[in-house]
Amino acid sequence: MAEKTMKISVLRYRPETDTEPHFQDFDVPFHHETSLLEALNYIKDFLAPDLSFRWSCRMAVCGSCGMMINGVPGLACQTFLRDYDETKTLKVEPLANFPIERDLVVDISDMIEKIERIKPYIIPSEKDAHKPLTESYIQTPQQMELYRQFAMCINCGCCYAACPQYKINPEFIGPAALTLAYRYNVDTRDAGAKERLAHMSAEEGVWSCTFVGACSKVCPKGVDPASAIQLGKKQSAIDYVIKMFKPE
Amino acid sequence: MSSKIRRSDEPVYWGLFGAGGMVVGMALPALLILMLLQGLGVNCFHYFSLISHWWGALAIFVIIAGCLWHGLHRIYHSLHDLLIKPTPLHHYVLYWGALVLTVLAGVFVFGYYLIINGFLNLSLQQ
Repeated sequence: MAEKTMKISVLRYRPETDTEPHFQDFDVPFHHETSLLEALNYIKDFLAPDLSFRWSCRMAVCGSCGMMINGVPGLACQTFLRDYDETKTLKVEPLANFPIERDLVVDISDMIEKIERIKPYIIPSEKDAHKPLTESYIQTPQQMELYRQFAMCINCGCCYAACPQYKINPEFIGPAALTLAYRYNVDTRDAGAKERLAHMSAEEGVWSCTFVGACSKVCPKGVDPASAIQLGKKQSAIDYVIKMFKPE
Repeated sequence: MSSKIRRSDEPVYWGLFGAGGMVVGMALPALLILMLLQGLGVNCFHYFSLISHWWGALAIFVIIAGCLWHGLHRIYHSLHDLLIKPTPLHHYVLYWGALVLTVLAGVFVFGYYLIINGFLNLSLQQ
């Protein structure tokens, strides 16, 4: 297949020379299989060696190459130039709602802190705490189905870039972290729901979500964070009623 | 840190919003169609006679209250889309508004129920 060319406009920001971010255009040759990540690597190899962007696995597993592609958050490795109109300029910007560190690299430490806050790991019950490592935790396929899709999250940050509530209220714990909170709460091997519910039930927890659903629309892994947050609201509301009659 | 987190009271409003949403989605259209038919002269039912039964009065009250709590909650959370930054004042006005209108609806609906059943005599002539 003959090679075609697409104009890619990349938002550049080099803190040591630039006072503010600005777009730079590049003409990139592409064929049917060229991903946006390959196009960016072409730019780095031949046109602008100082272009910075994160990437690692090239196959939508590591979650490093999240960026705004024509204004929509997505993974560069999972985006193919063939799906865009080559007569128009493809606009590539760093993930929205995060501070820009350099070019397409953003500072996601706020999201990381929130993910850590909700304790995204299995907290065993008192009875399982000293279980020997040789013993297994038995879980049926139905029990696994409760959380399986929510465990697909790769922490790429696309949902935070899409979320209008996170944009207006940076205190909001946000889609990925709340999804993980729900994912561990419904895991039959876990007994840490109480610790997570305290964060989920706060104003900046599930209750800051107004169910816009942008997170679920853009998730490159097909996770449905909006649904996890709604289910989290149910958990939090039930807990609210229980605490009304049985305060701690 | 986790011991100091303040719990949101949103479950109360969200619960009423959700319950009201069910009512708005299911009962209100049916009621509106029946009232429209009544207005067009199709005598399929008479909504004033519905209020004369206690369960009918309760149903009308639940539908009105559900609409109020659903609608005003939605307006509160849509303020941003109208470029208004929500403040505690908006919260007070909208939710107290919902409460006051709910009480008024209760007074009218159950008052009517009591009057037409003769439990309450508001006649000015002694």
